[in-house]
Amino acid sequence: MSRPPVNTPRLLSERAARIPAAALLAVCLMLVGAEFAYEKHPYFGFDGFFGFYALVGFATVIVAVLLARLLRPMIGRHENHYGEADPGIAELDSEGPTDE
Amino acid sequence: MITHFFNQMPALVVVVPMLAAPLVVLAHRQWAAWLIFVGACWAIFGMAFLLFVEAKIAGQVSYAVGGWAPPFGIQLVIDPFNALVLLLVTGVAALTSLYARASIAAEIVAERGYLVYALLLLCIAGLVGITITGDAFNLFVFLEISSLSSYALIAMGPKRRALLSAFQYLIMGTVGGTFLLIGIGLVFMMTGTLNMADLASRLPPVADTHTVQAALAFIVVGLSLKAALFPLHVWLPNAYTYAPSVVSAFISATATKVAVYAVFRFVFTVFGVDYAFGTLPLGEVLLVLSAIAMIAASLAAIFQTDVKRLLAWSSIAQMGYIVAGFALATPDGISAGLVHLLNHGLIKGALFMAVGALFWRLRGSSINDLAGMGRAMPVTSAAFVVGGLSLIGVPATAGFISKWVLLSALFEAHRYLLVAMLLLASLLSIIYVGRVIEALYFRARPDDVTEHAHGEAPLGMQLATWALIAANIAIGLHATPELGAAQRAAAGLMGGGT
Amino acid sequence: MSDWLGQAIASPALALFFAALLVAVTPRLLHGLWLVGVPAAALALLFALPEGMHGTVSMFGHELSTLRVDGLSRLWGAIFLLSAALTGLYGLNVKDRLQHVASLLYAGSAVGAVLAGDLVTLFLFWEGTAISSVFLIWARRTVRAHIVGVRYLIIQVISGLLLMVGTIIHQRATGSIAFNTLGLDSAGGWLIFLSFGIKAGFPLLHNWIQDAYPEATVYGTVVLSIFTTKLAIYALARGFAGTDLLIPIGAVMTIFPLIFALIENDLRRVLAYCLNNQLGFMVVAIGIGTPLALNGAAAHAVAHILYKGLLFMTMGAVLYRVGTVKASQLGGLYRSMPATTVFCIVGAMASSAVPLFSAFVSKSMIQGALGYEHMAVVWVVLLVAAGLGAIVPGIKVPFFAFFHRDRGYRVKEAPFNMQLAMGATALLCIAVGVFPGALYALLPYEATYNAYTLSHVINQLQLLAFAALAFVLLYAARLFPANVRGLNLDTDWAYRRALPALVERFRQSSVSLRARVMHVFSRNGSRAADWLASAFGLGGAMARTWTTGVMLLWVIVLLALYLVIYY
Repeated sequence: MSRPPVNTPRLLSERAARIPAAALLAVCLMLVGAEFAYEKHPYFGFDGFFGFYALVGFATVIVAVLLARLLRPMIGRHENHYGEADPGIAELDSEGPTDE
Repeated sequence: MITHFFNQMPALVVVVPMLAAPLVVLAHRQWAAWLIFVGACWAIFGMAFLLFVEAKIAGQVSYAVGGWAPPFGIQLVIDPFNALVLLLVTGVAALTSLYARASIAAEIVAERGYLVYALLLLCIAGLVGITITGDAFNLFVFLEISSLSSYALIAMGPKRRALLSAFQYLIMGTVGGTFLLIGIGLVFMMTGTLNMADLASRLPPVADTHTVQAALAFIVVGLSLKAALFPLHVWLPNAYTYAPSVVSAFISATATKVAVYAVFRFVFTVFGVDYAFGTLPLGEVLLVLSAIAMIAASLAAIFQTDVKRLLAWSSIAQMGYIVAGFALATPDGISAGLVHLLNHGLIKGALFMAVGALFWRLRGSSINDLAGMGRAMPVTSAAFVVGGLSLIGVPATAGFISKWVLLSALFEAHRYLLVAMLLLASLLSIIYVGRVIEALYFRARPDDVTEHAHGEAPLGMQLATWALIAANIAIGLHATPELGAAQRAAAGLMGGGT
Repeated sequence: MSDWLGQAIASPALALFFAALLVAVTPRLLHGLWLVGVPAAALALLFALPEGMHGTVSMFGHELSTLRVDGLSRLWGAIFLLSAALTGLYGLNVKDRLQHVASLLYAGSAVGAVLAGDLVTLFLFWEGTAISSVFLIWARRTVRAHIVGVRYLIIQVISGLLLMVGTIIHQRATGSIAFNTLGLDSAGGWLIFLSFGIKAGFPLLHNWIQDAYPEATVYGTVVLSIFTTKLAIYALARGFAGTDLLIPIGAVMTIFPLIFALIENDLRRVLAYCLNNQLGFMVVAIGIGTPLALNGAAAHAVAHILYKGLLFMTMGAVLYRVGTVKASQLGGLYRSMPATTVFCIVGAMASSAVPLFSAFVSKSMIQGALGYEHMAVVWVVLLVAAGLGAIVPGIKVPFFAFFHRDRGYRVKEAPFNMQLAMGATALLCIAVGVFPGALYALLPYEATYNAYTLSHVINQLQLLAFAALAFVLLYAARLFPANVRGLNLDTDWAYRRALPALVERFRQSSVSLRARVMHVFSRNGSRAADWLASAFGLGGAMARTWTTGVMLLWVIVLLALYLVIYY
């Protein structure tokens, strides 16, 4: 059923992938523009600042991803670390394709 | 005529199997021997049931053997406590009789088949006798009858190791019997009587003597040996593993249970709760030993590679549950111990029968042999699974009822450490039962099996196994009658006196 | 005429048990009827039952009420039965009877537990879910699945035992076994709380979810993802609504699993971590305890079951066709599995709470309830979790499975019944988002809420769009954690590595201690040993006789012990 995966270029480097990326950027800009266009109902006050939600969304992902990158070397282990893999699946030393 | 029969029933329950035994030897033919065996077993089961009802209504049924009035003659007593044990022994015997034919035909040389029936009958007679006798020395005699016959039965196992296990059991059993006899001798020396009820009334004045204390120690140790209480359990795994399947099934369900009954019959009825648990710290010792038994034996069970041996170790752990209940010496504790005594008899009987059916097909009982049998013998394997779930104590099975009442009793007595031990032991039981289930259902059959290793066991074996499984489920779903009976028994014991 | 509706026999749980029996004994042709039809019929039965306590049975001295129908239990029962029908459809192509029987028993137990009016009934079904569900893991029939299954079962049973012990203590303290608000005032309450907490995946007690779910079968993981954890949420809502402790517990739960999810390679394990994070939202809501918050928890449970089930279904389809769900091996599947791709994206959008999708209308109720109660810190934590949720699983799962790079797989689209099940579930995810009124009408408490205010929609879109933007930038800069083969340590390390190591250390030291003691003995007691050897014969027989000797030794020891303490 499955055959060994092959490495091909990442989708984002293809030209076609630039279109959705550009569209996303446009949406983001529109949503920033929308900040002027609606009445806010903040619960606390600080959540009524300009672009609060956009900032939270953006910052969260950046910080979390950087945190996760820090965490990986600490907790990352070989796939058969606990020695529970089934015979046959255990031979993972011949690493498959990597992502980088 | 009918009333006459009813009056003689307590004696008949012992006499029928005892007389049937020589009859079986005379009959000699397999078929005839089996028919007599079945007839005798079902007859005493029926009588046991009638006696149970009678004891429930009247509170106690007493019978003077040969018309000699107690305390001089031998007395047979059936009260709510031993009526339940009697029901267990005869019930399992009746189902064993259905199971026995195919199993014995497969495992034992045809010429010796009748001997198994005869010995089983003697063993049944002995166990029934221990259960209902009201006489201390008489109890010893019946104990020896049941023991001697079970040594012989175990020795008939299909492997050569059976002989050695029987020999070990014989040595240990004889030591146990001797201890019991020494104990009985000591109390007789102090009181001049052997009747239990009479002993109970004559012991208190001399209770402070070292002789009586030593008597209690000898009796408890002697009977603990027969009951395989930790650390006197070492004979049991071999005996159960190498005995013929039908013998393992019968003995595991009844023999140790009857021995436990005898221990507590002596402790509660003869010596009295206040003496054994108040003046002397018997309860503490038994609780510690049973706690160790639960954990240590469960751990041992996990590492077994043979299913019969695994079940045997689990039995030792479960004896810990039972004794823990009794040793609390509270009404809740005693009834919980009694409930588990009955339920464990039903569980282990069913499991050993299921393993025996697998053995019948496979000629082996190691866990590896069982690989993939879930497909080859679906009905038997399903029986094992349900029995195993009951052993773990899964809701809607008898094992769950035991676990529940035991935990309740332990809580009431504020024994939180024992609660933790019991919970841990039930987790361990998941592992050892899970190992067998995994082999049955989730491993492939080895490629080299020939065609003959397929197909179910004979009807008789399945019928007996499933009858016990059904009893497990029935109790799990509707435990009220059993609990009521156990509570009556506990109230009777706490009240003292037979 | 409708007298039987009040009896225990009218339980939808029994209907599912009966269906399990039918699956076990009837030919495969009829299985569709039992797997889909019976849950649907049981759903109708559930709505036919009048509100109140029914199905009283007496069991070992307790009066049990097996059928409590009220707003809360009816909603939970309904979503369980609905998802049982959907998963039944999804699993129709599975030939393995065992999985069907186990999943029906499992669903039946879960429904029975939800309808339980007392703690004993709850416990009975609680154990039922544990024991039936493990077969969905074992059914993968690999060595690893067996080990994982045992581990899973033990943790589930520990939860059950805690519930049992807690119930006994609670019953002894209060004299009642009714399953209503329990509170943390007593030891019994704490034990029950812990029992629920294990199944709800509280921090540090959570790891069984991520350990076990990804190791089950294609079909099994979908079924597992639905019942156990949401049953625990129900139990918390019933027994511990308004318990303040739940708020910090839930808040932690919403964040930390997502960090693990970011670096996890197995996509079903990613989903298991995200499942844990969504449970956090519900736990927080239960901790708040206002009618709006409890409605939010209930609504979110419904939405969550649907979209998480859908995501697990799509990953199951990928596993079924490709043979792996490791992100490092996957990519570009949109060419081969377009329908599955669409369903996965719908599930991801529903999970990310995009307006017009299901989680938007439920998650915002919880967020709103926090706002009304002025819990600013927790509100921010949940907002952060919601933003991060747009990346895992929102983008990570569909993107790395179906796009990213073309790995050259040219597989068939998922089987038809799987597509049908995924399609129906996807439709429900959208329907709940577009017509929230229908869901709101079923909610158990009185509270009005409108998710579709202009400000809310815009704010949510801002949150998600900028989160997505951050992802795109990180991905383009090659800063997003790469998918590499491997596993990540979690709390399971404690019992998979540390505990066995400790036991091994103990065993070794006791072995060496024994050796040292034996050494001393053999020097001083060598003459005795010689005597024993000569007395008991040949070396080979030594082991056997030795055992008998030990036995007798123990008899003596025990007798001496008794005599010593008696004198």
